[in-house]
Amino acid sequence: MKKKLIIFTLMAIVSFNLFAIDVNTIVKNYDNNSVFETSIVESLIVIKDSLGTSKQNIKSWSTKDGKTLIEITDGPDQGQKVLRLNSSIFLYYPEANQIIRLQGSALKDSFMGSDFSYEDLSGDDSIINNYNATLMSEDNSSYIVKLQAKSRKEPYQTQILTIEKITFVCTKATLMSASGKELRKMESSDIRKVDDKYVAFKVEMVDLLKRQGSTTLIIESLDLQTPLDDYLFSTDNLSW
Amino acid sequence: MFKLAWKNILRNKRRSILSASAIFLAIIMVSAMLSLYEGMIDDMRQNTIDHQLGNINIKTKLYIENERILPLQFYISNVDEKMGKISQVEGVVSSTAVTRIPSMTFLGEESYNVITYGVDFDTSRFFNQGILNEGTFPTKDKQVLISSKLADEMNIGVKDAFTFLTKTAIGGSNALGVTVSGIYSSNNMDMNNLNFFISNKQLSKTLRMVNGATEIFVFTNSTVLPSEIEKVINDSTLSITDWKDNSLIGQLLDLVKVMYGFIEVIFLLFASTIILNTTMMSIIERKREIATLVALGYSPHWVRRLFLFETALLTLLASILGSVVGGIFISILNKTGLDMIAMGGGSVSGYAMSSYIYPFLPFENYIYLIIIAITISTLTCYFPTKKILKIQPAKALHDET
Repeated sequence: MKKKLIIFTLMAIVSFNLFAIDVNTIVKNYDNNSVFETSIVESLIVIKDSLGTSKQNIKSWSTKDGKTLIEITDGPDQGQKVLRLNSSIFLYYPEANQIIRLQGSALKDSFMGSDFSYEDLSGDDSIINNYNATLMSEDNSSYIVKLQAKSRKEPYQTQILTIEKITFVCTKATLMSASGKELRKMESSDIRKVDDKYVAFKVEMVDLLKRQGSTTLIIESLDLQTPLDDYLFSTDNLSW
Repeated sequence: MFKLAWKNILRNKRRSILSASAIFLAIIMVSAMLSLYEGMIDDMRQNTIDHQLGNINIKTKLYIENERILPLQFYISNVDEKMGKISQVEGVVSSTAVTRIPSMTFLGEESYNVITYGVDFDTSRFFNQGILNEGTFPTKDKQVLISSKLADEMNIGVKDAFTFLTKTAIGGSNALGVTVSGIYSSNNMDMNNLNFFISNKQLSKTLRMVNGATEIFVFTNSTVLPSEIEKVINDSTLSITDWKDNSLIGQLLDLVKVMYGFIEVIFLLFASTIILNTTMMSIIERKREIATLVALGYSPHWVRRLFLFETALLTLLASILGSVVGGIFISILNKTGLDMIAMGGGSVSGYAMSSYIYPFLPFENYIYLIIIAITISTLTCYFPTKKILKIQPAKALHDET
């Protein structure tokens, strides 16, 4: 009897481990879901602060390797563009003499006064290449994963993500500095399936270093099919 | 009494010169000090009015409440209409719209943090004191006037172009390509930083402000009250204040004047101690003379008044001479100016001080100085001369023989 109990317990443990998902798989699935070969997104940015609310429509094009072009599509700032290539940001203003290049810490500057930085809206979103992951806990619906940056060049050295088990969409994130200071908090909702990906169509970001306010990015259209020419991500194209 | 006093002054020239020279030197020093004060204060006041606030300053209340974060969205709109109304107030000379904002300039790969001033080149007083080193004032919207310091820093000259980037009133950012029309140096040290000037109309457009500015400077030639401006504009969102209420310098002016008044009195008191000494010596030396006068029928009070009169007369002469010499010295300095930077004045940036100060002293100040000098020296000698009242002629004459 005792022998049967031991065998049964051992089989249960083995079968449990066979079906348990490891953190690298979670992160891999998250990456597969959130990193797109190409994307064309039209969205609305709503910026709220202590002095009021402002809205702006933007269109962005991006590729898997982090190249991103953002254009303001309406309002007085229509025609302004932001191009992210590697670690540089190029700004195009219709009335300027030259394309303005920002590097280094300027990438952490706020995009249009919002709670998103230039880095947040562009660049390589892949987790698995840039972070080491640890599974902190899980419940019925989500995994809580802690990410530690592999190199100091990452804008957020530590991240704690809440990843949905079914969709592998990050619904909450706390973004921290190397010292563990919380820099930003993100919440996403309105998750929809586009082609074979799950995408949050509403993302709210709060800059914890500001006293109050938040920025909400609402996706109005998303195209993951159209291939994008490299020329689109060139400084020549910016002023065109 | 005058003849007798004058005779007594001339009788002991050495003592008289000693007494007078203390007052003479004190008057020169005090007048020089006061003239420097007047020159500095007048300079700082004028620079604050011309370059920082106007006689009356207008901003929106919300802008003032949030000023530390440069809330451009709380700009003054329809400034032309408002300035039209302001011009109807009696005593208003002119008004001008101003926008001041930090920005970045870009030239190739280099960038610089600067202050951008949006001004009306016709009505602004930013350029009252200074030199146009090269070029001209802007005549077109996308032309700018840059400070000589910015020209050196960016290594650019007239007709060169650069781009500046700034935040806007709608929360975004904007950049504009501009061309240098001229290079300018201001006498006001605070204006000689990394800054440039552009027409407020153009800057307002770049910042997405509708016919706007962050403030209006109102220049007046009389005591126009902010309430009179408030009445014609009739806009409760605006804060309209006198420059003194807005400026640390304005609030300190009266205090500094009082302090200088005290210093003036102290200087004259020190000088008066010499007169006090010589007067006391004089009383002791002239005991026989005093006794004789009393014996002849003059009252001790009259004799006392004679001594005080001598003191006053000596002080008057010394003060007048000191004022004349001091006045000549001050008028020379007023022509040449004092180089404040050479004197270490560069460390007082932020106080709207010019690099050259022109000391001056209004005529009435000399009169006040003379009156104060006479008053102080006479009062100083009041108690020592009490001794005269106690002199008994018979005893004094007996002791002297």
